[in-house]
Amino acid sequence: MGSRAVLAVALTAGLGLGSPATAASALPPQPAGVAFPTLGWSEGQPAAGVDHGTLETAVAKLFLPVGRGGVPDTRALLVVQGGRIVLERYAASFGRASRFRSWSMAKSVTQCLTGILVREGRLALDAPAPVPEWQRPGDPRAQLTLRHLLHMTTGLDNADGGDEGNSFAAQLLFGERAKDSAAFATRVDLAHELGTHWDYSTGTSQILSGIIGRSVGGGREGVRAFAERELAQPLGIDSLVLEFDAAETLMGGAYVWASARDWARLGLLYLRDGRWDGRRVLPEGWVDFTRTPAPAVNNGTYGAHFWISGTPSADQFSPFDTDGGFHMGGNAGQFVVIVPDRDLVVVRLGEMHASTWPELNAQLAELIEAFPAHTGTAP
Amino acid sequence: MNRWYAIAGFWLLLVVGALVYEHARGLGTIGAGYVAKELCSCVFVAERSLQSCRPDIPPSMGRVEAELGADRVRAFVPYLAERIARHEPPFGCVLY
Repeated sequence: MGSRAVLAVALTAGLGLGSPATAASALPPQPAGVAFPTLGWSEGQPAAGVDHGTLETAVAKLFLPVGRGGVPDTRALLVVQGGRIVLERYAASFGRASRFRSWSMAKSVTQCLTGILVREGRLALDAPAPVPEWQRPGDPRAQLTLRHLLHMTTGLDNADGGDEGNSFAAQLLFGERAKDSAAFATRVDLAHELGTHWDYSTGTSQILSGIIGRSVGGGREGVRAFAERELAQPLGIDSLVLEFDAAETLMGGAYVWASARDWARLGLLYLRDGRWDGRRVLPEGWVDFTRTPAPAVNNGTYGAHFWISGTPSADQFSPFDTDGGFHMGGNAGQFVVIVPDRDLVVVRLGEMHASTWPELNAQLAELIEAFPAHTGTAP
Repeated sequence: MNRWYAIAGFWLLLVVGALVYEHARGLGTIGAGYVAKELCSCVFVAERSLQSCRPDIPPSMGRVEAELGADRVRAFVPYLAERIARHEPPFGCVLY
């Protein structure tokens, strides 16, 4: 499908992005007098009403050494409240210039790049996903759309689970087939009726990465230039490294690197409804689409390549009881948490060598709850 | 009769051995790929030392050995599998 046809579908069908199924908090605007951090971050103290005792305890626990009863191996912790950095701490030998790996937070960056292409009319949510291998007559995968891919409700037999050492995801990222990850992820059959069943799938993010690559053109240089021009430069991000496989497909399921401050910029973009300093980066309604649960019988915690906070679940990436909150989540405890009702972005990066998801989730929830809802920052 | 049992046993062992080797080779390839990619990106993208990066590799990968080159990391399980991840700036590390 050519770009004009995609645009026509988008215009006639509307983006159909919708709004959160629940009455989630509105996305707060940047406070007057606080500049977007394109050239540099404003810094300040936490606003009045913050429970400093709880905050200090939570931060201390996050940085406790291994075996001391906290969540070890936090290497960067950054809190943005009201558009300002109000807390920033690094473990020894890490700092503002350090790049941190995304693991699966890369999926949310892939979603962001997809959103930009939708805004530009080069992709459409409900048009058939432009995957050439699926367009043969009679192939049921021809009905799959970007919406299915972003929601991970494709029904494709490419879920991450299974034998951890030899799972689909392990083969996709590290096996021989990692050399052409999109091709490997694309050549699978349907295991469920499409659009009905949710499965967390790095393969699906690789299929999206392949779509981004074909839409932008120019191989990895084209994708990198697109991301720099449309995302990194407008936001003032200067540490972004996108990694690619040997076939020049973005490793959008797992491999993006950035500093803690730049991860916070990405979080702030979503907190501000996809607008940055007067410029629309993501389409109107995209962020609400992002934080609306994917419609599948077995899903309650996943939106559109972002996790939804505040949905009770034992899942590793759904720890927070916040109204309308959502987050990027990655292996080993990578988090960018967006909390609209507290005007907050929380970035936690590091490892989890000697802790568990419930421990880390509890510590981050404690930290978030130290900030009051519906306040601004101190001048 | 015993001779036929011996021949059948030999072939059975051979087939089982081949299957076990193939499975181990598959796991070794993934393990070597993991270590090569992770260490390459840690050293060249995050600009950390190999010494500081190695503890981030899970203990289950302890049998995978790694060598740091000028622009790459070679990871291998002796007699089983070998992978190379190469730093290709500005695109980070690519696993081959």
